[in-house]
Parts: sequence; C-alpha cells; structure tokens
Amino acid sequence: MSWRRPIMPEPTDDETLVRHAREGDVEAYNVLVRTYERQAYAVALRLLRRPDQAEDATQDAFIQAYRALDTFRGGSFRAWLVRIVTNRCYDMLRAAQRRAADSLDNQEFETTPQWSSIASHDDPVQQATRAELSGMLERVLATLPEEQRIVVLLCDVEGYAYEEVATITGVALGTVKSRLSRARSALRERLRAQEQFADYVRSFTASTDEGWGSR
Amino acid sequence: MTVQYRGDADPTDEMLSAYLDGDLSATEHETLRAALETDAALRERYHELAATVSLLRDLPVPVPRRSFTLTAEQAREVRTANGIAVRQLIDDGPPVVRPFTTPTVPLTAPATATSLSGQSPPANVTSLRPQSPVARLVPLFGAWSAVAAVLLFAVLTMDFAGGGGDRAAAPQTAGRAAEESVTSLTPAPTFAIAPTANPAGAPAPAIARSMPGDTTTAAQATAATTSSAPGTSDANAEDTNPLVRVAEIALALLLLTGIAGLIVALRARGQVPSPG
Repeated sequence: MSWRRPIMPEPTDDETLVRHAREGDVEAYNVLVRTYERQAYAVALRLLRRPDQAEDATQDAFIQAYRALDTFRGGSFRAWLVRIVTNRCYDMLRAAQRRAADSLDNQEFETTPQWSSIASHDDPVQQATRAELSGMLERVLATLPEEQRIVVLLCDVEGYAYEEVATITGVALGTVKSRLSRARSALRERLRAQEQFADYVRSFTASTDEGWGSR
Repeated sequence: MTVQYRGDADPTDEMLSAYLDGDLSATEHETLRAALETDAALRERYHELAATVSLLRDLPVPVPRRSFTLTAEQAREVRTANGIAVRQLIDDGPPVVRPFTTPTVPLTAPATATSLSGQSPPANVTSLRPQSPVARLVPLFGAWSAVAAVLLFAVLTMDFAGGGGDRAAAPQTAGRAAEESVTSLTPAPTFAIAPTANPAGAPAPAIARSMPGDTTTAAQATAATTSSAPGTSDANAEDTNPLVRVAEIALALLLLTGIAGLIVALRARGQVPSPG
C-alpha cells in the first residue's frame, strides 16, 4: 500500500480566475464555483446532515465568497472557500441549537442524499461489508466532538492537506495532526465493536502491497 | 524517538497516524517500521487504523441536486450592494465606517444566525442616510422656535396694547413692536450677550478701545452705554412692566436658541450644507 499525504492544489489558475472575477467577470467566478461546488457541498452535508440545508449553506457561502473576493490573499482558494462554508454551517448549527432542534443528535441523514456511483474492485462480499461499515462510520462521524469531526472530515474524507485544514479551522498545524489522530483512534474504537471489522481489516491488510505503509 | 504533537492524544496512535501519512522523519519512520515488524500488537493496531482511514477515504461522495453558480442577477446585486456602500462614503461627507467583512446573514436559508467571532454581516443597506441623534431633533427645534416666536409676539403685542394706549393703533403695534423689540434689546449691554451682539455696537468698540489699558475711557464708554440703557428703558418705563420686559427678553432668547438648534439639526440631517 503506498500512501501519500495529500498536497495542496496548485493555486495559479485559481488566482487568475479570482483576479478576473474581482474585475467583474462573473463567468470566471462561476468556473471556480463549478470546480469546487461538490467539495463544498460534501463538507456542508456532513456537517449539517440535511441535504436541503447543506444546499442552502453552500449557496450562501458562494455568494458570500463572491462578495468578499477582495479578502482572498492568495494560497489555496479551496481552503479559503471551505472556511466560509464551515463557518456558515456552524452558524446554522448554532441557530438550530438555540431553537432546541434535534439536529445535533440526529445521526442519520434527514433525507437520503444523492451519492455518486463508485467503481469498486471488491468482491461482492467485501463490498457489502464495506457498505455496512461505511454506514456505521457515517453515523459515528456525526457523534465526534466538533473539532475532531471537521478535521477528519477534511483530511481523510475529503483529502485536504494539513496546511489547508489549518487554514480552514484556524488552528496550528500540530493541533490539526493531534486532533486527526484522536479522531481516527476514536473511530477505530467504535469500528472494533463491529464484528465485520476484524474481517475487513484482514482482507484490507492482505490486499495492500506492504503492511507497514510506505513513503 | 520523539514526535512533537500537541494535545493529549495517545502518543503511540499519534505516531502511527503520522507514519500512515508519511509525516515522520526518515529516522523516525525507520524506527517505527522496525518496531512494527517485531510487535504483533502494534502491528494489529496499525492495521486497524489504516483500515479505518481507508473506509473514511472511500465514503460515498454526495452529489448536490443543483449547481451553485451565480446568476447575472445575483452578481449584480452583490456588486450593487458594494457600490452603494462606496457611494455613501463619497456623498454623505461624514465618513460612514461600514467594514466589508465576510457576511453571515443568510440569503436563502430561513435559519437566522448570529455571526461567529471575527465575521460581521455587512448589513443589508436599508438606509443610505443614517440619522444621527441630533438630526432627529429638527422637529423639536422647529416647534420650539415657533412657540417662542408666537409667545414673544403675543407678549410684545400685549405690552404695547396695554402700555402705550394713546399711540397704539392695532395695525401699528406690530410695526412698533418690531422697532421696540430692537430698542428693547439694546439695554442688553447689561447682559452677557451684549458684547457679542452686533446691533449693540457701542459697547464692543468701547471695549476694543479699552484694550490698550485705558480703563477710564472704558469706564466712561461703558457708563455712557449703560446710561443710555436706562435712558432707553426710561423712555419705555412708563409703558412697560419690568416683568413683561423680562418675559420679552427670555422669549427672544428662547427664539434665538430654537433657531440655532434648528440650524444645527438641519445641518446634521444634511439638508443645509455645512460651511467649509
């Protein structure tokens, strides 16, 4: 198994588009929207767990970002954008909390989101096992402390680099790594309670090139 | 082997997590790799961690039901809001400090929210002209001036209707009242406003001339002025009750104050250009 830490995306094209967008080129901004809207929505959905609210939060975030383009100082546009998305989601979650809504305790998605189809090379049994474990993982993810949930969501589920996650969450790099480690450990402990997990670990380990991970 | 991490996470798990991400130094990586070869429990722990991360990475990707591209209308609204804020700074004179930070006010979602720290909403631009508290006093000063003017007129009319019977024909009292109001003001040298009031020109030059230090001249000038005041007042003494005189002066002061306040409030509202 070769595992490489995610790296930040090349900023050059995004910065050019931002520059044009600042000058009034809406189409340039919409290129950025089309590039990142699924990623933005994915984060919003896993934070809010309601597809309609996630869509609202994503739309709000893109409008806010357009309005605040002058504050983008370069670097990862994706990180700058997702920071706006997560802040918007936290606003909505806090508003829901004040209204004593049950959204924070709801571990299931309120309505079933639409999922993209993923080509799988697993045999059917492994695929079924993986699907069941994934469903359980999704529910457990929602119960993590907020600071751990956002880090593992961004790093492992969405594939952001540590530096981007530090930008998005506004904490130091070391803190990102520490929270990520704690989140992974917590999730592993919950998965251990599932009997299918041991089988999955065995088949997963067997399918990797090297058991120890490589650089 | 020490790995610097913050927080109270399990140090072994932290190392395994970093190892998984290729985030250890070459030396640290090699040391841990050797440990994994010999320690079965550690190896099992690592495999479980790797499998967990693999499941996370393979979670299904949600697909939004629509695109979030901006329409021309939405873009225009944003640009117009920006433009209004800028115009406000140019046209209204006094600067309006309206920081343009990332807003958190929802545009589509019904959920309202307070802003997170560091982010304040730009506020919907509902009023282009912020009303200062002073500007709101325009009606007050207007009413004040009007009432003072009416009362002053009434008192003066009463004064001359009651006092100078043989010379007061009704239509003439208004004109006389106007003349008398000027002369009735001139005794004012005995009051504080006299030195600053231009109509009472005599005391001012007197004081100016007295600056070089000629106190006797000043005393004489002041005496002359004040002697003229009793003279003026003597001319009216038979006609005017001192209390009425006081009322006239007080109302005149109120009227002047009301007019001054009205001008200040109108300037604050922006309808009267401020000088300079």
